[in-house]
Amino acid sequence: MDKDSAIKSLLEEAAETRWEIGQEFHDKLSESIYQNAAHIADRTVIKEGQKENFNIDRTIDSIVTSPIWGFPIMFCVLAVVLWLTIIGSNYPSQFLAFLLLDNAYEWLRAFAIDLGTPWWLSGFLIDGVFLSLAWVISVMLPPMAIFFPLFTILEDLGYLPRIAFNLDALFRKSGAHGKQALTMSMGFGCNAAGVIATRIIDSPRERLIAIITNNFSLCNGRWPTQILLGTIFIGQMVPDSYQSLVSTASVIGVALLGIGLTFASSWALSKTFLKGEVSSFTLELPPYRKPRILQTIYTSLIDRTLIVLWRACVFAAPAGAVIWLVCNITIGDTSIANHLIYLMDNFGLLIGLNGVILLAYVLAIPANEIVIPTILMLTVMTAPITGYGSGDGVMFELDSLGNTHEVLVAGGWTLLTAINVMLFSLIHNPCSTTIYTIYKETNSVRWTTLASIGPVILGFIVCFVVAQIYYML
Amino acid sequence: MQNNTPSACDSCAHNPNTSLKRLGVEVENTDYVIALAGNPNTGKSTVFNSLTGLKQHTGNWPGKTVGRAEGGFMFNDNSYKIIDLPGTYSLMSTSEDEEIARNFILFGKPDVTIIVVDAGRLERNLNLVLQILEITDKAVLCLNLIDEAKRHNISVDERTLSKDLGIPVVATSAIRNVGIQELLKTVDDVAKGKIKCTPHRIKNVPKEIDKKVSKIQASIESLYPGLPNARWIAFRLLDGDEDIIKAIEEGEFINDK
Amino acid sequence: MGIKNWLNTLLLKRVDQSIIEEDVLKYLYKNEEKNKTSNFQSINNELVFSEEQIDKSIQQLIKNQSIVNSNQSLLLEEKGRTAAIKLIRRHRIYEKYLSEKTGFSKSSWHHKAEEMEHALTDEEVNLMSKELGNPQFDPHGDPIPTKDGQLPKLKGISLSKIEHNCTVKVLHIEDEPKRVYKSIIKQGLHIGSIMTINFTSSVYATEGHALNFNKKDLENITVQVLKEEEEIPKGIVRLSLLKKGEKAVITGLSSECRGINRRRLLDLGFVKGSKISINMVSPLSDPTAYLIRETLIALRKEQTDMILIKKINNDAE
Repeated sequence: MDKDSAIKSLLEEAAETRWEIGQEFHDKLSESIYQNAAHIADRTVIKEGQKENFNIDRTIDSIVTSPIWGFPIMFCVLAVVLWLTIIGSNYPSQFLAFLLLDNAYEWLRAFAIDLGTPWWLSGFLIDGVFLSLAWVISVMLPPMAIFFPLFTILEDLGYLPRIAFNLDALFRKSGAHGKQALTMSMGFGCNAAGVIATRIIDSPRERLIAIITNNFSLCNGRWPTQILLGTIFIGQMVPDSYQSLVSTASVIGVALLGIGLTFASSWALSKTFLKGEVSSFTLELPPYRKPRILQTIYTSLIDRTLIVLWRACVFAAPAGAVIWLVCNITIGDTSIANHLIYLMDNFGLLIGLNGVILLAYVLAIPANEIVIPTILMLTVMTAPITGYGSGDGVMFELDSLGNTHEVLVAGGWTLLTAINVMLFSLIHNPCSTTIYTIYKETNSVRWTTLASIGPVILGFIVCFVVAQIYYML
Repeated sequence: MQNNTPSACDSCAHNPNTSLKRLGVEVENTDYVIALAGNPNTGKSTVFNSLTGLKQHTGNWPGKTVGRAEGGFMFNDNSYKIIDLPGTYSLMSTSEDEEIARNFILFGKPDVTIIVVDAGRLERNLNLVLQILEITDKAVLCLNLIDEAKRHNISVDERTLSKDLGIPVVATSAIRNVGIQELLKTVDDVAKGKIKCTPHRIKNVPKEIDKKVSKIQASIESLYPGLPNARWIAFRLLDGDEDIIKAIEEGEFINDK
Repeated sequence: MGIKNWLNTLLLKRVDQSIIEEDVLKYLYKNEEKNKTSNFQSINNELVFSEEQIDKSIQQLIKNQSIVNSNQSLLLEEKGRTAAIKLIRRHRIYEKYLSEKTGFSKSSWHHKAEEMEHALTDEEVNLMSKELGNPQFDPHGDPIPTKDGQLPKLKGISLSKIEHNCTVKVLHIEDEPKRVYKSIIKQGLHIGSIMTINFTSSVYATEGHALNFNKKDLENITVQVLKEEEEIPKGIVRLSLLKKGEKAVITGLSSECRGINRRRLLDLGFVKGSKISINMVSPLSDPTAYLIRETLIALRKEQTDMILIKKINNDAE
């Protein structure tokens, strides 16, 4: 018999039989397989006495999911993790900055001059590429190297699924999955890692929601911006004794606003764009296991930290080059950067920002870490102030908060500008590493575009509204 | 004169190596290909790490190994390539993980499939084991986490289990490297055909359904004589599995042994 | 209807003439099923289109011999009937597709299918049907016409016609009008559920839940009375009624549990015969973690309504 027609008749036969059996088939087959399994297990598994450790598991479970202790334990654990990350990463960050930004950078420049390298080449390579890489590494690496292992240890313990279990009711109300609590927390470390972590959500709709909204978790590339502006602008509004309290509150407020936005946008997405995506819920609560600390630290460094850092570097290197180029290539008498700033300034002022900030955000798409250095550099380039920075296209940061304040005010900054930069830093497009990761995970231009453009538009709207209210007051 | 053009057999779609290549696995310089399957949370990645000496992350969480991890090892002068499949509870739903695992075992035709199970929760794990045994007849059961099971006062009668399943059973505690050598040896024996498997087939399917399955199975077998998993393909056809229907239309199942 | 008409004109919503014709045919077919007569006036009352549009469609349908006008009432000809059945097939297959393969909510299926029934081609519907395993019923329990136009009649009687104590099986829940449908599904009534009716205490109950229907709801539910001799399953309740400390055996999944959700639950061991008990409840009272086949699995409340169990005594292991 002809093979093709035989195949066709086989498929016809199968379709016909399928119709006869009806919907029962999957049910019946699953039932028989489980019956078989139970039969074999009955013959081979020997249980003796009490299941000792099982009761320990149940005891732990009844504490960590109890109505009284469940939430306090959870918040303490998360607070400790975040605190260790933010405080703990300060020292290695400073050390890396000292090493890469202060020493290696100066040494490279001196070396280039010795070699007689033309200014444009050493500018492009050292001031552009090297500086931006150094910046990203020194700001990004330490918090991730602390945050990810801590998080992974909690994961290996089996505690994270219990957090999802505790919080699921909240997420369900906004159409999301309880496991999003974890991808969201992961986003506080790094959005790209948060997006990868959504793999644990096996329902298509809820996973997309978690991916698209992860950007509203304030990642560690953005914490420094918040802390800096919160301290030098918001804190200054009140008497000295309240300064640190108010500035801390402003930063935490922004982070909480991000959590609020996550819920709101999850809800909105599940009611609009993602309404028709398939949705299902399952949450397995695995037994507790003793984590192996050393191996966890090693593997989470390899698996998560270095992969994300590598991706960030791949994007940051060309970005540094571009930043240097737009500042040093001139059209007519002024640099491209100045042209762009001039072009964007009116729109920027309309929404309570300015051209420098907008250009910095465009140039710093690869990494939020370099936003502040870029803003400072561009401000010094355009504002009537001298004595700061080391030339066009060379990013820098200032040791003294007072000096930073001075530079920014010279650039036309007001309290409104600071508030709006803090807001815009929370609500703008994800960094290019995250955008790329979203594309890799969803494999869809549509969702990647939505996740990238949506927040920027929202950011513009929020900043515009705040600016109008501010002008009215 | 040397003939350097690839032989017809290399490029033919029914050579298992070609389908492995299509699944993204490089098989040059490899004698045997091993698949590593199992439920989430059975220490599958730990087994993978102790076999290969690699340090893949092992998470206490379902769905950690998304995609596939690969590694290699040498045993008795043979080189082995081992593929760590995503942890799943079943091969019958349509989640991405399950598709990856299922397609690899079905189309990749690994020389041996190691099925890692949690000795403390055997009954649940057997659901997947029984499904895999419908697809492939060359498998080894790795009864992992035995010391943890012991702490829970659970022990497993390995001999009966092996007899019931029709495949060799090796007890291991991968985290402490216990039983890994024996696992390697058993895998080697199965790969070389020194141990013959007679895998368990799913029983007590309701009669009316079983009759219909057998009919479809017969049609499949007459189309592809000697196919080891005709019954499982019949199951999938009756469940309306689009991938399998497509594969049949494209003639994927022609037996090459 | 006036407001809708006006809105349509205002929004310059252009309605394809063929859509109106198809809707007229469907209306005539449904009336024929109910043994009601149809005329221009009744059509005009039912459909949202303008009088001119409807008149034009009727003239066109008469011209191409789909319907005839006899004694002031409009009757379907064979050609018209075939077209109506095809339309119904497209509608019901599409509803089935929405219920199995997408995440759209129950109450939006009908509306979406109303639009798609005019846009889909017969080939597309046949493909869809094949992918779904040629289903016999749509998610509301309505029979789906076969490819060659056979439409099995829905068995059973309206729940409003039952006036004595008995046990029935729910066959069908009418999805029109939407308001009534929503009020029924809000009660959590499932197709395929066994319902006991007790007139002395005037209680409708399924799977351990008491239900509260008004008259309109009752008319839109079709049931089949189970005879005494037939095996009437006893003591079956929903998993949501299991209390902490109790044990139960799963007896099956409700037919309202569809698509990927159903498969996942089956794969996780929520099959007939599995023992189940509550291990812990989330501090926010939902979800609940169940111990089933040696594993802890958390389920949300709406999922536990779709799992049917029979409680067992603690000591009778």
